[in-house]
Amino acid sequence: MTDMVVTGLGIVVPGVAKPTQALDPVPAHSPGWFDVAAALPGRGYRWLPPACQYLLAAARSALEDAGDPLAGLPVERRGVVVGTNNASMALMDRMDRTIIDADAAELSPLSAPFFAMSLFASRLSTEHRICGFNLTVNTPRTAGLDALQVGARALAAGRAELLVAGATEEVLPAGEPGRQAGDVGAAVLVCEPLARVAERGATGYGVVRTRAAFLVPGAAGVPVSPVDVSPVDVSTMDSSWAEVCGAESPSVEAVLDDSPVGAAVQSWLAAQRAAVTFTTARAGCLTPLRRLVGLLATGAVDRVVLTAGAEGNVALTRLRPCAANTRDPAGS
Amino acid sequence: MTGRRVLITGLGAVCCLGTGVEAFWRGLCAGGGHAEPLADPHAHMRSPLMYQVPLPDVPAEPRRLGHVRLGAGPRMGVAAAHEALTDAGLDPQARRRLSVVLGVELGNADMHERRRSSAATRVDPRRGSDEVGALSCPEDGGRWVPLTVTAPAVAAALGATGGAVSLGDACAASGYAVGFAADTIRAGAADVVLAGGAEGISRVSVGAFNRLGAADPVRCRPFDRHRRGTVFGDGAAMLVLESAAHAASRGRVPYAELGGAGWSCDAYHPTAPEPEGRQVVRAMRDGLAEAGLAPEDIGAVVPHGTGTPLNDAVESRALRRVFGDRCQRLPLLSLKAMIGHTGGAAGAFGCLAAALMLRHGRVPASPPLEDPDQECAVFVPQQASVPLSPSAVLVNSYAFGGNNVSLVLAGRQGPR
Amino acid sequence: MRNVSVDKEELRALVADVLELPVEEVTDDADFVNDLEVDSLVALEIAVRLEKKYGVKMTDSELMTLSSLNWVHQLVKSKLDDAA
Repeated sequence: MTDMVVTGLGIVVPGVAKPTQALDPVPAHSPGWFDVAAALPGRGYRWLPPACQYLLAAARSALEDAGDPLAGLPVERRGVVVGTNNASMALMDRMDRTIIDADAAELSPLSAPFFAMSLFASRLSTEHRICGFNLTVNTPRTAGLDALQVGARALAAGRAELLVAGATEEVLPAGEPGRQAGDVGAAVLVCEPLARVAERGATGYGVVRTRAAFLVPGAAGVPVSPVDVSPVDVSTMDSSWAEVCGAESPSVEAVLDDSPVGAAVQSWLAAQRAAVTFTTARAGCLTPLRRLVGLLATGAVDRVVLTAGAEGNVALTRLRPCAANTRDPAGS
Repeated sequence: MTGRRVLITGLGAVCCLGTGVEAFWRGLCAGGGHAEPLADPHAHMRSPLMYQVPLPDVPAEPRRLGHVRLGAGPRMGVAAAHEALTDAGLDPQARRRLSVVLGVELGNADMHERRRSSAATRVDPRRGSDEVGALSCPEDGGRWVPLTVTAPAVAAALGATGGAVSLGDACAASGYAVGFAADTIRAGAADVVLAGGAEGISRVSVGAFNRLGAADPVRCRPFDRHRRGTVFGDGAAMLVLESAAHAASRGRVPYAELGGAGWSCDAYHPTAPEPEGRQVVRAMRDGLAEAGLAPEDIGAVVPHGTGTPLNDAVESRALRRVFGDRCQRLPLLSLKAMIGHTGGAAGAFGCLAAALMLRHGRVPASPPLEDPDQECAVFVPQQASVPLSPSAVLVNSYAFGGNNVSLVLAGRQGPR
Repeated sequence: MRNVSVDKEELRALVADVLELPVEEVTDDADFVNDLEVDSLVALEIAVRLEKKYGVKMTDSELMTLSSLNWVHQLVKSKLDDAA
């Protein structure tokens, strides 16, 4: 198991001005809620897809919040992992319609590369000269928390000494199911190994540890009917929980939908005796990470954030207080 | 290198050369496949070419995962995964504990594209499932249908409960998947991980590369002076990675050892590689170092080699910097010239080819270059296969946007 | 609706828009690459916009030598004259 200290938080979500507000209900937003000129002054941002703008803006906040952790750190010792599910969907939709109705020759070259969702993290790397590695995770619903697991594994393997981890999403295009309730915005955490935090005299919000699991919907290899609440095998939840929590029973922040998998996890949670706060999951991977940012920012750090996707993916992130040098949440 | 040794004990594949690893190897030895124009009547672009999986080799099942209708990418991924697990001979308990890490750039994109074009005219039935145009089952019409469902689709089909992580680093995605799987095993967090990638046909991706001037109108011809870009291919490649101890306990003979990986990123430009290739060189050197090998211990390279003017030039120079004059004798396998650029699956296909080269002790000949680019001072055997010696292969996988991964595979007769 | 003539100020506005610069900075002779930081992708974007607006096609080599507003203006003008 690999632990990381979170030393910086940044969030760009409608109605949320700072990380301490990340637990507030997200209001309905209107186009224009994000002022790119204010958040990202200068050239080179206006033509970026919105989810890239959110990501860059949130990362700036997080790095500033962490007290300029890149200073003195060689570029090859910096890493980025970004989770996304829908960052490219609206762009792919527009591009496809152009190809269908006219010709690929009419595509805009400046935005065309972003059909690949890895370009969002790549642009973030370019912005901050991050040359260690830059990964994109796109597992449905769990990608934001998975990004923490993937990044932690990379830090533990010595591939970098600092991780910028986040999630970014954009509104789904018209015609895509789930559009009405989709994630929009970005959340970014600066994460470092404990040794480095001590060395640079930084303070941490908390320690995170993430574990992924997969719940097989119905019998393996057999197509699942969507109307039955098919038996979902939740037996691995016990071992996953034990791996991140040991024998402890912290309060749970659960981000779930009403799919058979979501319902099965909810039932499993009811059988544990932990206190649970439920948030309805949205299309995308941002909400669990947003909740995590809010918990860290407000000092509610003895928690588990848990999410699951209708397709079977589960992720759990255990938050614990730092041993020393804990951030004063009221100061942020 | 610290931690446990990682072996490759099972392989699976679906590509333009057909179904199965045997068809893949036979096809490579016979000179590879051919690019064909897309049958999609809505693919309005100058070069709508791809190295396409023959229709009978695109599985019809599984049709869905829960409420999500599955496109060709996830279905091919499942087929290749089944082959790899059977090849590895894993018992039911090991299968149940298995984690899955896949490189998936486009996932179910063909289903989303079909929804848009079915509104226009009748969709090409060659690639269809029933109820063309439906993303999800009618009863669940309102539920969100994620694009990248391949990893959960594979995990569900296998009954693998260890986790299903999906990496999206475009053309390097499954290279990173293999690397991440190896790190996980090395750290003792898993005994067996399925790593790989799967991609279907996406009109948007081919169109985008057309617009960016990165689509060759003839075929994929890396290192040729007249190359004008890449040509995509669909398919799936899967590898079972296993700790040496776990494999030994099963009496399993591996294809190869995954000796090490180097990761880097250019942080330079959305599409162009950094011209000096500094980070590309670093990824190769770090991979070698992690594997405990020197450049002279490598017997062959599976380059990224896409056929874009810039990649092939930068990569050739980088190979020169790492291998020096040995480049003149170090054989390359021009894999993308034979199966196309398989996007998210490309890194896994590179590792698959390397594992087979190590098993057979040979480097297949690549399709002949009409006019080798003198700027690319590399050795690509074209007349006949050559022996593989020493018994170690370097695999490069680079994503546009500047993500680089180099993996080192070593054979049982290797330098160790 | 495609233009059949090219007004230099309109062209200046188009280039300034892509480059995210005030029009005053896109002077007649400012070098795209050295003065205005235009890279291959931005040059391609300018070419695609010109194609849509004026109906002119750029060759690959013309794309690589988009050097200044004056140069682009002359190029578009001559292509329109050829087409007429």
